[in-house]
Amino acid sequence: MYRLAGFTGLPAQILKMGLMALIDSFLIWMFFAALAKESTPLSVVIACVFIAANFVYFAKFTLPLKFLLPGMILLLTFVLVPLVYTVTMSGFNYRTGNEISKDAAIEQIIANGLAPDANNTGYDMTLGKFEGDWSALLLEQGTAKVYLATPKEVKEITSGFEANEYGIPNTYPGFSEVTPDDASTQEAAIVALKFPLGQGQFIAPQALDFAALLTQAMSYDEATDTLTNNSTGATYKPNDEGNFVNINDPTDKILPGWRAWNIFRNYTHLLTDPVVRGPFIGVFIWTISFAFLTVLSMFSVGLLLAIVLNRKIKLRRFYRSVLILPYAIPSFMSILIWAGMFNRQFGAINALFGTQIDFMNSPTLAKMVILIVNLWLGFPYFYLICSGALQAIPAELEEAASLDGASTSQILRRIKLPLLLQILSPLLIASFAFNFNNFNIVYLLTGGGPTDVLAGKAAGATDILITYTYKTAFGSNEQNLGLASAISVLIFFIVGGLSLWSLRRSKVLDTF
Amino acid sequence: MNKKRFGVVGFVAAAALAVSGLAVPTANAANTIVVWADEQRGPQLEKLIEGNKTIAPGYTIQVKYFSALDALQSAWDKSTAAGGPDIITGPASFASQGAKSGKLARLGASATITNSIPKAGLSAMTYSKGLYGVPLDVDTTAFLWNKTLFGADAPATFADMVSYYTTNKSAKGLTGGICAFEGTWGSHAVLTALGGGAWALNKNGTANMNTVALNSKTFKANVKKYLLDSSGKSTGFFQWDGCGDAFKAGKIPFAITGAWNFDGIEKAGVKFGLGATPGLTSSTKGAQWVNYSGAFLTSYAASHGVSLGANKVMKWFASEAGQAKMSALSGRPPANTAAAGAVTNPSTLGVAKAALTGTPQISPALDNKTGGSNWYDVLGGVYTDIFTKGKSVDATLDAAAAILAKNFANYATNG
Repeated sequence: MYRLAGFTGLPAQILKMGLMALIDSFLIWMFFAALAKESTPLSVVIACVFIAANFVYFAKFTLPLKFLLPGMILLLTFVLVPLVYTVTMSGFNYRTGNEISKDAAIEQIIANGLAPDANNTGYDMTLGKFEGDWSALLLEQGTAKVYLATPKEVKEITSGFEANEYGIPNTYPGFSEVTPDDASTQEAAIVALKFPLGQGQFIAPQALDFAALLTQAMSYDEATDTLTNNSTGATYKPNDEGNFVNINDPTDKILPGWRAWNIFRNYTHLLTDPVVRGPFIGVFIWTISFAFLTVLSMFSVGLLLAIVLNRKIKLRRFYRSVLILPYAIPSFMSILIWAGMFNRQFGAINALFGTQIDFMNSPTLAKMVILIVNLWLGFPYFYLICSGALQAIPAELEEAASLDGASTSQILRRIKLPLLLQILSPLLIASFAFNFNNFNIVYLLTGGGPTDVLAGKAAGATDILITYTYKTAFGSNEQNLGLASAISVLIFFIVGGLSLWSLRRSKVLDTF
Repeated sequence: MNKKRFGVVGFVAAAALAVSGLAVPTANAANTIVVWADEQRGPQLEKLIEGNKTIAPGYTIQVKYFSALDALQSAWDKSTAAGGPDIITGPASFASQGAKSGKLARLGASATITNSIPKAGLSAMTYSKGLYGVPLDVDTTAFLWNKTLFGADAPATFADMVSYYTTNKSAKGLTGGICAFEGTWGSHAVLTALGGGAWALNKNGTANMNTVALNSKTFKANVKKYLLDSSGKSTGFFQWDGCGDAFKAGKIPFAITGAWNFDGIEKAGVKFGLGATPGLTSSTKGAQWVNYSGAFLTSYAASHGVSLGANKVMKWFASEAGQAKMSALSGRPPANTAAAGAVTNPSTLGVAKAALTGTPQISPALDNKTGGSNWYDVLGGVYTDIFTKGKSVDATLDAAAAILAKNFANYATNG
């Protein structure tokens, strides 16, 4: 008998078909959306998911996969794909000025290489067909001369034409005007039009009613993969950073460039360039310290409160409820409120003590502020898990120790704490890894600052690796996504390595 | 799978295909010109040109706007030909970024544009000799004084403002003398009023990138004289960080800000006058940054097959008619010379008049960070060190100038 979600038989089968139809609809919609965005890899992945889902849920011998498939798809989508993408991007020179493909860059350089003449000569234009070819009636702005432009020539005409109310010629024997609606559907042909003037000059439509006199200043030779500036004669060859550079002057490079594949460039840059390496080491040390001190302080306070509230005291329920509050309020709100409270001029803390302490502009105080606020946000979590873990320790152990004459502190240090640490080790390690990448607290509270820019420092005193990465990638007008990806890969290995080491030392994995 | 099962699968697949087929998204619709803007300009453009089919006959204009300039910038950074705009509006700094990345297309030479826009405006949209956008309006600030506090007439000199603040600080509960609403960017008029600034000017008024003005002797002396007390600590006269509310509350008598804040200030009940920031003498004025917001043609327009129509829309953006309509909604002085001449709104005229004393904001030089940090970050450091931490004026300004000198020299060489 077929069963699904409490239904049996035919209703269950109908429910299953309905659910699958919904899932399939969503996947097909995503597939076409990806195709419309010209994202072939994504559309292939979605197609594979579609096939896998239908195979697994309609075949009889794939029972275990029916439970595993959703998790596997999510793991693939949200863990493996970003990981592979980040690693791949770290191998590119991917930064402002080097963002597009080489073909697109060449196309752009050629398009930008269309140079106007010294007078910026422009023409009001009526576009149409003359003897079956695309042609134009042109009124030169400034001189008011009228031309008939065809793919073969541009000749001045002084009679035989009529003009509209703006003085723009729109009729001529043999010439038929094309309506804007018709023209707009044939843009590709119109954009490609070049009405030759000789000596490398031509008139090209810029809009449906406007043309300009241009010369092709830059040309590309596919055979030698070189660009030539037709006016100066300079030759440009591609370098390994994704730019065409002057063969006689490597500092003379043409923008835009392209994303050049150079797998070790960003990593080498990270380790050898003092401008990048200097801040990186300082930031790395603070990141480790921050994550360690945060976990230590949150665990200590959480444990202390758990021990205190594990005893039968008055208003225990009330205290327990109040202690959960910081955890219940959205952290970004709490962080912004704390940031206001620590403000030098208007903050509640300075107002309370009648001081003018500039917490956010002192490296030491700013670090303390971050630790305090993070403690506020995180101790309820540790209080909760410590409470649960304490209650899970058999009471007989404490009783037996008491009978043997152990003091309260001895019971805590020798019995409860070792047992707690064994139980909570995975959570402590996970918390360390989380805080290693705790972007919100740093970004919203101090923005990574203070940054002593006048001393030439690029990273702020409270920047951790993830905020430093963000600044590198998005923090200014000049972005360096390739370098940021390389830092992200390093963070991955650092966090992964530390977590694995901790898990092995704590022998937590042995119990799995 | 047996035949029955194939039938079930076939039924499900057919149903799914039919359902999803109705909702398959498409890329930008054919002959639709997509214009991106931020949360300020977007709603204004939506009123003016959303769905318009006459500006570029044969094409339909669609306006999409974002929650903030940062969101627009972020979307622009991530954009590709598949979903990117055909035209984007934003600050002049988009020109150099977009030109470098290849996301912007060069504009065709058009006398209509070049004859109707001032050279400074075109220069702001130019990168490496190529024109990448048309300036829409003047992006600058003006000096405001609270008429209820200070009186109907503007202060004549910087010393008048300082004197008023010192005299009335306690009696009127003033928390500052002059507030630069827009932080380091908006404070440039204060720097130049005191003889400082980013770079020195040549005799013909052009920027001299070889000389940093921030550590000039005159400026150092005037900072000590007007902004610090005898012990070298800030008098509190100069405010640049989150002081806007205090001006609106009548706790700061003078301010520097742009047209975008005038509504809020009026709603707060502040009666204010508009002008140029007073200088050291009654005949000199502080020079605020004058920049332009622009509309930029993207290289995606060609990929979408709408470049001819988009070019036509760009011409509308540059035209007197287009800019007059946009200025009427935004309150900003138009860049188009004829449209600027036709402005009648007093606030817009006030900003336009103040802009005459401004200095061109050369964004690529100010954003350059060859020395380690860009102009704005360096200036933030200077303000913190001098006015908050009480560090030496001379040493701080010299350290800042050393960084800026490298930035400006690099800009002068590489653009």
